[in-house]
Amino acid sequence: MLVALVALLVIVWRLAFGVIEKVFGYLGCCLLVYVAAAVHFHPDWHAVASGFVPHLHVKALYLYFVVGIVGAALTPYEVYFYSSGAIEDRWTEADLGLNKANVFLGFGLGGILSVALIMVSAEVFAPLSVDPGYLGTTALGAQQAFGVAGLLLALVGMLFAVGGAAIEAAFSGAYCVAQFAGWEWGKYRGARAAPRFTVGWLVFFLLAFAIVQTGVDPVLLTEYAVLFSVVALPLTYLPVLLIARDRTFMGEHANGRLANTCGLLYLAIITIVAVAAIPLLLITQGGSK
Amino acid sequence: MTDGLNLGYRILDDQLVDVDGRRCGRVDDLLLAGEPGQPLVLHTILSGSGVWHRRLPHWLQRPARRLFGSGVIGQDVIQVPWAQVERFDSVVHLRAKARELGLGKGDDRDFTLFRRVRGG
Repeated sequence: MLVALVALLVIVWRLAFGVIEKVFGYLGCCLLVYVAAAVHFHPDWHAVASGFVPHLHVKALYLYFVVGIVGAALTPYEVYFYSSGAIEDRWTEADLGLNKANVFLGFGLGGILSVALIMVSAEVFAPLSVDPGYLGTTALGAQQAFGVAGLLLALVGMLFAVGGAAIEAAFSGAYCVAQFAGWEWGKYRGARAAPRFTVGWLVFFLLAFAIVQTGVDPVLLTEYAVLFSVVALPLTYLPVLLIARDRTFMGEHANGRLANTCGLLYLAIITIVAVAAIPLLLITQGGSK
Repeated sequence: MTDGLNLGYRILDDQLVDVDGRRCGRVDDLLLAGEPGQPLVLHTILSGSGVWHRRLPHWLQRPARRLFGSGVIGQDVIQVPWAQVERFDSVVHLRAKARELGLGKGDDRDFTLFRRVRGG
């Protein structure tokens, strides 16, 4: 674990922001092996398609996982990381088209990967009554389909997806603290120009390492983190929505009527989810009942 | 600068950027000045942790003063005359260097942490 921490710190220290994004983003795409594996098992496509038809269950446990999935789709730290990353990458109006494509491709890819993981689990683990409670267990699904090559692709994909998320979370924390306190910030500024921001992301990495060293179950910790971040989500999303519709900030790129309606609808959904999150956590005893 | 400007929405909490493009603080509070019967004029930006307690509920102000400072000018609060503002968009652009205005002292001091380190 210490080796992983040191390796991650060296990578982040040495590489530029844009290079980190590309390396971790592209190598994380190795997870697409799950999409290939899902198809490889020749699933019952009729059953897969029926899974897309919404069914309303009023069981608390079901609603708990609904809250978790909605919350995981847009966590506050991603908003802080992405918006600060726009400054790091020096985006301009010329990058708007690329970013719109990014939203559809990124969310689309994430959704397809989630569906593929569920399909692989249904094909490989469910018949054996195996609960893939550990992250590493899910890699065996890819191995079942493509042997050692599948296993390696899944593990490399996980390594870079998890490593990328660790970098995002540490930087997001440092961005928040630096911007709140009025410090200079930005990876592109370098450690000497933004020393307190640099100390910030180093501290967040060390803090994460200390938490892992306590032996806490990382999957359970992630579940709780998502649940509690859902509570803060409307407070993160509302300012973005207000700015996006404000022509004094956004000029001709301000949200139109359709985008505003969709935005308000999403705000209503995440507000309901935020209000329900903690009661559901307590009722289901953390998703165990 | 503009009629009907909502200071709380457009200026308060914005980052301060000096003439060299360096981020050097935040608009933590604003001072308005004016004579009785006369319109108020935006006079000074207050930047620094010493004013944070003013914006908290009453019961939190005392612990916040202890943690972040009580608002000693030049120590935990820096006054920036509004006349030093060049323009504002998503941040407030200043006409002078941060050091000339007494801003960014923390980053200047902690620069020594990484003086001999490459990269980052």
